[in-house]
Amino acid sequence: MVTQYRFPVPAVWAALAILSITAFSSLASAGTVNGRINGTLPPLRKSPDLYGKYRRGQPVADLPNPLLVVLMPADGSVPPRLVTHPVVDQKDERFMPGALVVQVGTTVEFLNSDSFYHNVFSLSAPRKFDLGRYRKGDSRPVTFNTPGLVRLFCEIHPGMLGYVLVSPSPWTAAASPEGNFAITNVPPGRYDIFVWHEPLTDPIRIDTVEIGLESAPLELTIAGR
Amino acid sequence: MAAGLVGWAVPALAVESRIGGWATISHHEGRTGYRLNDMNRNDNAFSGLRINPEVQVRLDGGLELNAEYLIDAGASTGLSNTFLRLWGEWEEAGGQRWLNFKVGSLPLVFGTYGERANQKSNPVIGVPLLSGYHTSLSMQFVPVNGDSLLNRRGRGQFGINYTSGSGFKGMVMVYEPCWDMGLEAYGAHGAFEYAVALTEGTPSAAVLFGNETNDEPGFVGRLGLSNLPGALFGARLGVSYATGAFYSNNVAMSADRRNEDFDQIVWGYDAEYSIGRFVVRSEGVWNSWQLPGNDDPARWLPDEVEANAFFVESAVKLMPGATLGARYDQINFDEITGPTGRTQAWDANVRRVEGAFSFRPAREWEIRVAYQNWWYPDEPALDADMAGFQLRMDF
Repeated sequence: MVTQYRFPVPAVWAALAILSITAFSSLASAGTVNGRINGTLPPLRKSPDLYGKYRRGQPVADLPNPLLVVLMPADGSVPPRLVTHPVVDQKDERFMPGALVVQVGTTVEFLNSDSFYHNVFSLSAPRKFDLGRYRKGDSRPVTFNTPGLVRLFCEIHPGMLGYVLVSPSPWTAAASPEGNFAITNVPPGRYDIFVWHEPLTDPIRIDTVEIGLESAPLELTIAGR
Repeated sequence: MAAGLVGWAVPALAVESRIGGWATISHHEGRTGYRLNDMNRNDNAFSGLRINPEVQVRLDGGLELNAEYLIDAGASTGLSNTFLRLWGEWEEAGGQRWLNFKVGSLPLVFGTYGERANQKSNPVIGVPLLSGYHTSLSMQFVPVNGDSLLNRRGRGQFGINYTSGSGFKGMVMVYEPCWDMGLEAYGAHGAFEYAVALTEGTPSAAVLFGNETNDEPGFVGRLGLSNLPGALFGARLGVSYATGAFYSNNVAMSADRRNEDFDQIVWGYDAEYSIGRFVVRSEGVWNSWQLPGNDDPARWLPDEVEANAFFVESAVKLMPGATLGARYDQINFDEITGPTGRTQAWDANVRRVEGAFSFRPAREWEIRVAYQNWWYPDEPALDADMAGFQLRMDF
């Protein structure tokens, strides 16, 4: 059964963040979760891409942007805050990567590697911003403090579309084109597994699993709808 | 082209298609000001309802077929087809970015306004005067004499006939909404960008009522610079040129004159500079129309009439989704002198300023409010203003 799931609302998340440091202070006893996702995605109703590159009944392996995976503690406890500094590049009129998952509070650098202007902006509720026009080699930071999906656009190039999935959890990964993923530093416990792919507006929970220090690789399937 | 689209594909044929477009709902206050925004068929950027569906089919090898169909409730034939535009495009011929072709009903090559005529990237609602203001010179009638031309000053928007009765609107210098049939080659190499097109008709006398009324060949070209180094990085500069016969095929000429002997010749510049959340642009044209001149005092007519126009527009983003825009336009017409010594600009010089505020709550939705003020330095009785509200949706 595939269920829709919304990340905790910001106020709740902010209050619980203080507790998270103690709740998951023993990452030393954590392991790596490997897995593979198979399946066929639901039919696309609306493509944001200039030439409709997302196709009906498209296999996971053919996705134009990575499928994102998030592990959330099944008991509702709050994950710890881990610091990362990801970069989203703008190259050949594309966001690279086209989809990125970050933890709440993360600052993402938006780099322009093209020899012309880009102007990244988003009007998504979790994070509205407009970085203005900037040239090759320059980058602009954006901090994402609210969970949810943020759609990225370029004002100058309407075919550009990217995503930042802002997750309460640090245990996230972008799947390879074959659907493989690896999530490191996951403490033993019971977790809900969420995935996100275009054109979902929220991640979907596809399974709940028990994870130990040395778990067998996960085999997950997205049921076509 | 709008970006929000339905997509599907047939992989075996390597075909990708998209259907999308835009629609606007508008309200305006100020009838005269509204009429001054009318295009050839009374289609109007402030029209109560406009719907512009678009279809794009992309085949292997960079071949692309496009069609768009503008429905405008304000058009003279009611809620009917204002334009059907069909064109094919071969992008990156031979894999080269510098060589692309278009054939069919061509978007205007002159200047850069045609690229952003889609209102999403227009800082205001209206069309620049040089691309939409109807002069008192007709493509369908030759003035009886210079006096008949002077007597129509400022009336080009409301129909021109140099004798009596009504007529079709006067010519626009570089008419953006009306695309000509033709063949275009375009591309970019390094900092250079270029486009040349052979068309039927000229920028001021293009398609009418969906049909070519002028079979004479025309030439349009633009040479530009962009992505310049150093402090000029945000600049885009260009010069354009167009020429071709402008009189419609059905215009009656005297026995020793042919319609194809009379050309429009127009030069233009375009300039843009942008940085951060600010952009400023300007375009200008120097335009002349050759006329069947006559020295007979009763039928006097100059060999040509000239006009020049420019606009400056700017937009600044105040916050995500909120933009403030403004444009100043002006057109000046050269003076002509008749046998009685009467000297006057052959049409009424005109100025316009428009300011607009736009808010986009989501990428597909936009709300705009705008105000226009028109004034005629030598004919204050023609002054007008208007205010407009518009809701736009991309689909």
